[in-house]
Amino acid sequence: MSARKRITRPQLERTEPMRHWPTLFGMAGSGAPQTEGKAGPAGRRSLNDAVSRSVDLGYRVIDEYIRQGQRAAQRFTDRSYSTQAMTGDVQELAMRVGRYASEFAAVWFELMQAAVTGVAQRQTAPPSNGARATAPLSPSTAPSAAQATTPGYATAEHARVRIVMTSLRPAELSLDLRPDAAARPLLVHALRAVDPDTPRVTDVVFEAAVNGDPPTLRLRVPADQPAGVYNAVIVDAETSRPAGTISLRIAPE
Amino acid sequence: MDTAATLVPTVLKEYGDITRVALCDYLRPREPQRHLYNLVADYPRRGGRMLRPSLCIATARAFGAHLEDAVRSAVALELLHNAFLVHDDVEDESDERRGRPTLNALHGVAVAVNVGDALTLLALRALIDNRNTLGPWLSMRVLEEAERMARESIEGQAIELGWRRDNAIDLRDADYLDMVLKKTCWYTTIYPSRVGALIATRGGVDLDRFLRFGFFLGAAFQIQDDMLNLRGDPARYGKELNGDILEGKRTLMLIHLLREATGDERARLAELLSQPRAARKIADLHWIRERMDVYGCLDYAGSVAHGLAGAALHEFSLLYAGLRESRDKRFIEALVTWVLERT
Amino acid sequence: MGEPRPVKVAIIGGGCASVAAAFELTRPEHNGKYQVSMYQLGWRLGGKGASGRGPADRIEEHGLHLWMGFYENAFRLMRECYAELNRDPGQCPIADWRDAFVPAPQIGVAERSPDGTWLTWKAMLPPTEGLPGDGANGQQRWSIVDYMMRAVALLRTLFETIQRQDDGGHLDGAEYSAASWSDKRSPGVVLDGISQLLKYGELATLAGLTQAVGFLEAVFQSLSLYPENIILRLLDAVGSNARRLLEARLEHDVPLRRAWQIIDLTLATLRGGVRFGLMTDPRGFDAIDEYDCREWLRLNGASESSLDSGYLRALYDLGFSYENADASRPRIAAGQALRSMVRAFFTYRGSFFWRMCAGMGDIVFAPLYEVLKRRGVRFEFFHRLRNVKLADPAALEPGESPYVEALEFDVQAEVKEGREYAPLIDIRGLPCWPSRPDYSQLVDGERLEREGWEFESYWDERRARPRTLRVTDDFDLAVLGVSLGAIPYVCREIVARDPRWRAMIDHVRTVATQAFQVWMSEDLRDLGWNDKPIVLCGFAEPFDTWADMRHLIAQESWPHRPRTLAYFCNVLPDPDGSNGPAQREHCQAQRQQVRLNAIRFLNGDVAHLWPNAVDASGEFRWDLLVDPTEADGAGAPAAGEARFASQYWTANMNPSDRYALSLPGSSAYRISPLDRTYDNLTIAGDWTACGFNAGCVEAAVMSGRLAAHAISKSPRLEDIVGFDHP
Repeated sequence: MSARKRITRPQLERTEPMRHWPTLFGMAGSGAPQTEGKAGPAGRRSLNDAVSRSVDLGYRVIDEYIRQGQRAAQRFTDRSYSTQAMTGDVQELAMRVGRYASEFAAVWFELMQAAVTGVAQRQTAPPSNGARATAPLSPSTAPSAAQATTPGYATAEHARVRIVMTSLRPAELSLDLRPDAAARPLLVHALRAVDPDTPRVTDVVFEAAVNGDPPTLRLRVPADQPAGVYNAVIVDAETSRPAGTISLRIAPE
Repeated sequence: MDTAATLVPTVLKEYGDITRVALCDYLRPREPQRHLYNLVADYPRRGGRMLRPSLCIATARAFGAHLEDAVRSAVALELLHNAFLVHDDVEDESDERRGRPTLNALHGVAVAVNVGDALTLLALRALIDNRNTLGPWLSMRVLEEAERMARESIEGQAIELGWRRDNAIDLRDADYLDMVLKKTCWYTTIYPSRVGALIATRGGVDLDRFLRFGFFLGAAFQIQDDMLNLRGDPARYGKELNGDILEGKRTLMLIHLLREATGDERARLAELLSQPRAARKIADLHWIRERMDVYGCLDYAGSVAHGLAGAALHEFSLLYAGLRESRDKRFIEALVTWVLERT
Repeated sequence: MGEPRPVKVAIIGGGCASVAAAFELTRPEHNGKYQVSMYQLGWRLGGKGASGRGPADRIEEHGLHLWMGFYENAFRLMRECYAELNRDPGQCPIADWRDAFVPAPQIGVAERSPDGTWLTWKAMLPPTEGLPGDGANGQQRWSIVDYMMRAVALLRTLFETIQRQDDGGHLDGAEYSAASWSDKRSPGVVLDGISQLLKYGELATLAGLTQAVGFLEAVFQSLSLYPENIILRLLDAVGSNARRLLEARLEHDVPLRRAWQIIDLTLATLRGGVRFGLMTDPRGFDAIDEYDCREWLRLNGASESSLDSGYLRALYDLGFSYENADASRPRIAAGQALRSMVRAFFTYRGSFFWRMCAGMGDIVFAPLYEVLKRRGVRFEFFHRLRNVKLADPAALEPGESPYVEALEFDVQAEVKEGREYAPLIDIRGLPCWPSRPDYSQLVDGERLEREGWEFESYWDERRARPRTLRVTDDFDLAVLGVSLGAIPYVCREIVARDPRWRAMIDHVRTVATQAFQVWMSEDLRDLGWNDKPIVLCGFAEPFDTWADMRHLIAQESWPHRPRTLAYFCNVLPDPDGSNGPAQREHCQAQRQQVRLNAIRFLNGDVAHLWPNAVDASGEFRWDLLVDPTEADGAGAPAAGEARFASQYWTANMNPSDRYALSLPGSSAYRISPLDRTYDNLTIAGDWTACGFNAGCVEAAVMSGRLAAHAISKSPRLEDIVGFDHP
């Protein structure tokens, strides 16, 4: 090996042919013929290659996108948020998705029901102070000061879920679960706040329904957990599809 | 008769006002006011260009719809846009928006996030209300479009966040365009056009045809936006100058700089970008900005935007050729040059 | 500090693209900044363009090489080369470039008529001003609108010519004038005129048609002022009326039918240009590259009989445009096809076709070799590239691009005393390449000859020793000028790691080719071909292209001169449709196959061209063939078919001898020489994204100039003619 510095090719200003320079000058749509040689040699020479290259690149990007979309269209059959297409940390993504999903999901049910049964749609119950609209739950058995939840939407079926929450601080929990999901094996990972530096609430688990007992969500909130909103996505353990969301709000001291 | 120069501002104002009035219906004070609904109304009230709702309405009308048919979808779009702004400000830890402090700066992150969620919910409400004017089938289709648009935006945002988190320094222009397509173009230009055409033709036109036009227009718009962040007039621009550099946002200019810089400069840039935002010093900001000038990154980005706008015009001519002449059609065409010329 | 040291450039492969790159990098203007070494397997430069001299010094080529009058870059290279070489005309028969290249204006297309006979349609394209490679091309920047206008002018000429014939003139050899109709009427007036024509059925006359075409010219001059549907209606009206008007005569009047086919195809092209927005598309002709050319024309209203015309078949034949070498699958990217046609027809200088006056190796690569040697290029023959080795990605510094760390070669044979191999032989004053290496210069030469080492064969891996060139020590920058077919074998690492390269070799496909050459003792006139020398395409499979090469006989050294020399060539399907380089055992089989093809062809189809070349029973008169090894009265000459063994034929099966196609949808996957993914490597060849994405000498030279630009920023891209072009 040599100690001399390695020589490399120079950087180039332009790497693409200019296939249609009238467009590049912003004269597109005019289709004006250039037989008299408008924009003489000097003008052409000063034209930045970035313009022509960007057009070519732009077409490649969008054409590839469209091509992929056609292929993916068959894969994407239902309304779930497929995590396959996402890059980066799935959990973080799922958290963001979960935030939207919790809103969409609830309203979606209403719309689906209205579309199916023709029932006039209900008004969204405005969130009352400190509580959020949730799927019907059996009352929580937490020993702490968990606020009472107000029943929100009626769904076609009831999904019973038992919640056991341990917390020394005032906290409220809302749970949105697809009705058919209660019978499935469910998983929930740690609940995360928006700020990635905030510690997660990890002591949370979904216990499957057994012997006629409803599935149980067990959750423990550490005493030093910072105030804020934490979310998690409930995932169907077998299909890896989102089945619902959990939102936990810890009140400030 | 409007000239090209005045057409866009005129139409933006006209459709913007209509949208704003309709928007107020969804922002009526309710409980809890202090902690939610007053705040929800904050960003929408701060003004804005109303580009997205105007494009939606104009497309719908160019394809033959009545104004009333498209307004609610335009309202939904503007609400969603504001929801994204709220959440973006939280994620970027920004301090200023449209000349005033951001929601997270004023009230904290938790509240801001909640406000963003509420805005999203209101957008959804507006889309559901379409049932009364468009009928269940068409409003369902609009909802499906909205779902796709939201998903694409989230995915695009995730990609961008991932770059920042992983301190990506080897990005190509194609990567940037892929991301912008999802993060910005879908909800700024593709979705408004598609929904406008969907409403007007009741699904009679192939919506995928708007992908190219929307992509080129939206990408040119976003690049211009990023350029304004570096050299725009702060009073009119609405965000702090050079804020993107502070956040380490992977704009086309930064990607160009990373590509063009010498080995030493790249190493220093990589180091700077890996620091948390709070640790970045003003002097570093200025150094990066100055390097961009040295390597002509802004001119480069300007040329790229220029080229994409040219392609947008070409796609426009293919897409709208069959429609009869109308002010809306001319407005949409004029938008292409406007996105480059605005300040 | 002193002078910076010269940059060592390793150019691998000695084909057109590589020598063009070397020529650019060693220009005097660079002041010796680039020290170029060229690595070539075997004993001769040229790649697919290499030729040799066999018995009787006969020229032995890979196939047929035609130069076209729009090959501005290639001609400029050759003219500069010959000028610099400055050969003494007293010593050398080919001293000036005009001794090397002569116009060949007659091209023909063979058509089979319904009754089984073959007709040849000969087109005489008129000579134009200037000569290719003249330079001063900066002003000649064509746009698609310009080409459309030229096409409309062509239409007008055709209609006028038909009218003249009706008035008693002659249609054959339709000439067209480039004069355009420049009456500047206002759009309103023109639109009125058009509506009149459309409304009142005046288009039903030839005069009306001519007038309509005049309106078309006005429209295309200011396209944006006219609504698209009016333009399309006018084009449609011209087409349908012309067809109706001429239909009755088309079946019997063959020249008229041909004129009509051109009119029909031109109208379809114009219609397509308007409908697909080609005039304003920033991608130019690339915008329609997803379509096959015939498919696109059909979409735009061309009739089936026009699509089947000899005109289009010639286009496909000349570009070997058969997917998988399957004659039933003609495929060429519509965009590149249009680009080739408009360049060929509208921008040729001097003559449409040009011929070389000796083998391509003698005309092109020997002079270039001599000039490059004089300029200080070092040639390493008998070096076969085995692998391009990339630097370990883990070892890259932050911000460093991937790069080539080493080039691994087999040295097939060493030259005695470490000298540089002298590759050329002298044939009556002309430096030429031989058909076999000069073993006397090689270490162990006799043994190599005895053992039959095939230096040019992909499958003969025998070597003297391996040799590795390392970055910075032995080379700084590399130009990869091996052909596309070789890339999967010599760039395994790059292909494995780089999805774009993988996509390129998946989508940009190649075909093998076959060719044979026959020397005959009788004149073509006596054999029944009464016309001028010609290149004929569209003939019978498997040898659909015939070139009359009688002008080369004088260059060879025959004791008794043949009177006729004919070249035939075509694509060669891979065995078992494998569509990839065959196994070694297939080589012999394929060679045998080509021989059988040739014999069958001579026994069967050639009678249509040369009626007197067959005897009463229809069998080819084998005694016509001239055997170079026969001296008069020396032993019993071979008889019958066996005489064919004395002729020359070839199955071009080596991966690097495969010809790159321009299949629909493939040009997007080509990689440009300007691509800088690997910061010390560039590529060159007609298979790259060189602006003119077709397999031809011009594309190869353009790519070589682009590779030189990638290394030295010279020549300027604006000076590569045809690069900035729709």
